[in-house]
Amino acid sequence: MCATGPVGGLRHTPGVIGCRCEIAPPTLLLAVAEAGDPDVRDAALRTLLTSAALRSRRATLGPTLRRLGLSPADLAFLPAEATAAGPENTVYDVAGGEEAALPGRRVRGTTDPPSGDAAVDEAFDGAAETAAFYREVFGRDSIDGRGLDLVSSVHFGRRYDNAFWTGDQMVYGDGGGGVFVAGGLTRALDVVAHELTHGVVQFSAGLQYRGQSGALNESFSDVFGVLVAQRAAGTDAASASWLVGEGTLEPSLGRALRSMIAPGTAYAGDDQPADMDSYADLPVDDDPRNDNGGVHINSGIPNRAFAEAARALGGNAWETVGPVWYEVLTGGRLSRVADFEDCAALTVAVAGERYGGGSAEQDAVRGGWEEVRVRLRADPR
Amino acid sequence: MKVTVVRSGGVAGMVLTVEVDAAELDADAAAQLRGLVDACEFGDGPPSVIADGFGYEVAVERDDGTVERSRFGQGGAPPGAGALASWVIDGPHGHRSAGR
Ligand SMILES: [Zn+2]
Repeated sequence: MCATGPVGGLRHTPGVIGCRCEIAPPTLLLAVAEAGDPDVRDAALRTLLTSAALRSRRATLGPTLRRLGLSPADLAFLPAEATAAGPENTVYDVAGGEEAALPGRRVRGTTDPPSGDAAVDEAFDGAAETAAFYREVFGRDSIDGRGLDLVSSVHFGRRYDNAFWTGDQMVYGDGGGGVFVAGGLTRALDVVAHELTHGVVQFSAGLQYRGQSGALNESFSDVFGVLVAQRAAGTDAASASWLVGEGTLEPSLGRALRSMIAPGTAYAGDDQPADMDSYADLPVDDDPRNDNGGVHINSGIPNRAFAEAARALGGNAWETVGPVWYEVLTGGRLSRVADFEDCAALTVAVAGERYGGGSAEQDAVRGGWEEVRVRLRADPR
Repeated sequence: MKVTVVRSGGVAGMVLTVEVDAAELDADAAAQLRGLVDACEFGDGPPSVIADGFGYEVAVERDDGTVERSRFGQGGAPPGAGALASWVIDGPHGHRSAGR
């Protein structure tokens, strides 16, 4: 039977994918997967996941994968889900539940009309807009580049002041807990796209979420978050506010989560540095005040480098500097533990490859990093 | 007894500190707080493994000056610590401040 396929890692095994014969019941395979020796476990898992994925599409497997300590990346051996219609876009209502209740009750699918619940419909539209951005601007097929279905859950927790990407799906709280205005988290397209871009980073450069690599992870999410919103609104670099999450905070706190062009000015208490001279050298430890070594703090520095370069060039940022940052993120040359200088050197090199050495674009990218006082190494070419 | 909860991270990346002093509470609320503190297993839980997950610190300072503390990431609270943190952060009794 199929369950006795070749052993090894969860890699592509042609005979398993095409199998049409009877397979063992999922409950039995799960028991084998959880109890068996490593080789048997892998074979049972591969069979289980393949059959489940062929029946129900990969993105609905999140909870099962988590129970087994796996991520969607472990299903890379499956054929890509690319279809002419693009990935499925599905929204669930977790109705006040938290992690254990995800994804919740299915309330809107790809071809369904608006549900009338603003959170549901905004999560749906934001996911669709973000996927369209990556497909139309960069030719990327969904979050993982291989057609991963878009899954969002809304109404997480009670008055929950956060939105996040779990590793396989989007989750939105309602806000209203004292930090975000009620409904603010789904209403802001740049916040939705920021979170979905954490998924893109996970499936591309995989930047470690600590210290400078973590601040770059945050910055790529802000950069593509605002580019998705700028493109949707038809806003060019000169007229853009370069604010992230404008209007999402309780007004008494401030006007936005971050300012990319003037870091440290978005809200009262915003302590993002605007350049390396005021870099926050925080330890990477378990003290929540230190933010994994300042990932949300020092991200202001690469954010501003991008915004300055985009402003210097004018035009649409997603067509000028955006493609440079996208190639750096996804081109395989940026290390998981890259620091600001690594990223700066790569953006200058990629701008040269794309637009020519000494081009206005390369000068603008170099100028952006100079503005924030990130040291540029000798020309990497 | 004072209970202080620090919550950081999230997409906003803000540090929120909320403090509740049992001496300022009415008898019902003080009893609720004591019950939650008694049910809380201190010690640390796993950090959040997701980008923009919240990070928490819960600290209880007893009247004799002893302090117990728990740090954990979103979804990784030790038994009782999540309920105590929510009561302090989401309830009406806390003094809130923003900043590191
Ligand atoms: Zn983030």
